Amino acid sequence: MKSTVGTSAAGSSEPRTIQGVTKAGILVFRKTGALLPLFLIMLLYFSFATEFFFTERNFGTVTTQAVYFTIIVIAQAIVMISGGFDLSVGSNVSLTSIITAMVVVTFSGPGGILLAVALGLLTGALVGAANGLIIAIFRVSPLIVTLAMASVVSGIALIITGGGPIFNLPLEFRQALYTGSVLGMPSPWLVALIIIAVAYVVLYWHRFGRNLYAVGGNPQSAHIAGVPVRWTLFLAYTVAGLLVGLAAVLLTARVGSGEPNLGGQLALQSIAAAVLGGISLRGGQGVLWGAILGAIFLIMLRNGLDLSGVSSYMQMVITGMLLVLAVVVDRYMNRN
Amino acid sequence: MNERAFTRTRTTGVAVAGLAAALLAAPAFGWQVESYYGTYDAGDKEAGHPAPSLTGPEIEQWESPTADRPYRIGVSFPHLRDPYWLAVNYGVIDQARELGIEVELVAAEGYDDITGQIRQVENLVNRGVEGLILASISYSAQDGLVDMVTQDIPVVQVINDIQAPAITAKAMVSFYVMGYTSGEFVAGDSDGDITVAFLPGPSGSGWAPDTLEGFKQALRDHGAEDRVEIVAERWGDANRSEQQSLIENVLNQFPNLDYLVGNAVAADAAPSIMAGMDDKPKVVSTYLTPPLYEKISRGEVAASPSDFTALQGRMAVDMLVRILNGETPGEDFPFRSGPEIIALTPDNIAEYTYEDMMGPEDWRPVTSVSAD
Repeated sequence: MKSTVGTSAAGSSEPRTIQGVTKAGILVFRKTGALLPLFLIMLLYFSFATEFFFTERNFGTVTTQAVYFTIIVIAQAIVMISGGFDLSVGSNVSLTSIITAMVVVTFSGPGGILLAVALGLLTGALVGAANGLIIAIFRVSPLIVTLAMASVVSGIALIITGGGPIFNLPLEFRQALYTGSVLGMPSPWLVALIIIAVAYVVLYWHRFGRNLYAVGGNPQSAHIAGVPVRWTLFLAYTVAGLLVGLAAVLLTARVGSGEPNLGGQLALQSIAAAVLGGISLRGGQGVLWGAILGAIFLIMLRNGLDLSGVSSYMQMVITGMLLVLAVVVDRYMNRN
Repeated sequence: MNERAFTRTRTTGVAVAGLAAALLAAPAFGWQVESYYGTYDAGDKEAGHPAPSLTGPEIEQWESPTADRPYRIGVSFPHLRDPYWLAVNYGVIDQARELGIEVELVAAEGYDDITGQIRQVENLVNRGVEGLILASISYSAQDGLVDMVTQDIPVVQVINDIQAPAITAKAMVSFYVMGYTSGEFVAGDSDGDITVAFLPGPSGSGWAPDTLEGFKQALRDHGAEDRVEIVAERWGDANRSEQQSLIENVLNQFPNLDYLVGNAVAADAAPSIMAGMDDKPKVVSTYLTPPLYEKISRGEVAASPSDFTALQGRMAVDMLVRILNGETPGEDFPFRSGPEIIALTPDNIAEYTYEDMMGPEDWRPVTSVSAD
């Protein structure tokens, strides 16, 4: 993409430059579907619709809101690229939140916080690994497996808590993972940046990433080409579970309690964001930054609609219609 | 504006029925409320119960303030998808219009949308509202949010109890007292040994267990725990099909049941399920919904406590306006207050105003009010 634009510019031929830019635009459009134009339209609209949108305070609010969702969308994108879904991300968030909160309430001090984070991550990864194991070994539909897993995990969270929240978490936990900052940057922002960087390296510079795209694109061909399909699927769901666990730990610090229904509607929302970002529903296609952009888009859209005073009912209509549009564009781009 | 605008009449334990005369005067002179004064300390507080640091309850007459100027307030609900929250919406909006203040109201997508409510409140604050009315999804998950928001603006909790040490004031009733009122009715209405099946609602909710606890306490307080036997406690989501199955099963197990007590969805479903029975148990609800109002009027349901849902919305607006006027919660007006709960029966239901409970029947949700 870069070279196409660069060559045209160096040749200083105007028609070629326009041609190059057009090609680049088509490539970007193909990678992210309708998202980029929608994003630009959204920014333009809200800049006129509400005076509160482009403010420093709102930038901080949107960024913080986007952190947790972005990590979960990256997790969802990984399993979607492998050709599956994870409908258990919401339940995983809830269970991880409960476990983290219980540990941090039981064991005080920095050691307790570290233990809580470790067990939270482990919980998330174990749920993901259970999904991955069943899907990889038995070749069962990820839709059914993760839906069933969502039920199991939700049930466990409710059994542990009796349905109520776990509260009175130590202030230090909240300070470390929510209100605290490192080098002037809020700690959740920093964690998200690190995750994005690591995800980029793993997906595009590591064999796992190549295998993931190969398995998602065509598992049979991938198998013939020597890709360990089952291992790759297992790893995809485990890594996704780990990321969901991380987001859940951060969310628990944000809300300051362990909540058996913290995950709520994250499963479908994260799939929606990934699809908006150009991650194909058929697997094997889509890019990381598309998924990230999809997550930020949904958060920013809700933020802008809130700030503009659009009712909750109408917000549901708008986001639903945009998702339909994204799926139609996804279908069109793949057909062509 | 710092003069106390309340007339304290007497101190009492839990709410009692039979204050119809005072409530009848509600449209012109306010309404009867249970209030708690003093300083809020969330340390030893239990969900649904007043903080031990508060003093009360005191039965007094609620009086609305006037707004010093047209304030702009934000309101956050868990959702706006059933008659209960539509009633709160009516109370908030109508009171805001009466006081001439502006409202921006947001609603999350239900009781599993904790992060959604946090996001919406943050966005509301960024819109520059001067105060917030919060109906929290969770008892504890919004504590940090309240802590952050109250650094800039006051936050008044409405309907759903919240722990939040930084909360500015509370307009609510206790579901424990709702259950207690149902228990009082059963104890007073029955004679001799009777059997009761109790269907509280979802076991994990912040309200259903309180109704059962309150019901049992009322039986003890009225010396009826030995003759009133709770033969079944059946928990389940408060949706129609779940509650219908629970009722069918419990009736099969206990065909000679005397009272069926429980959540409004169960109480609403019960009369049609029992239509063919010769010896029907009496149905008592633990809270009121519009269809139950009709069924009580027709005598199909024996009783239901009303928390005067719409009035709670009005009180939250009044409290926030008082705070913005410069008054201090817990001193100049109650830190926590809610309408006094009464048991509606076919004999007394006509004495109360439907709009004070559930809002007008044709009410449509309103999310924004501008001061003209």
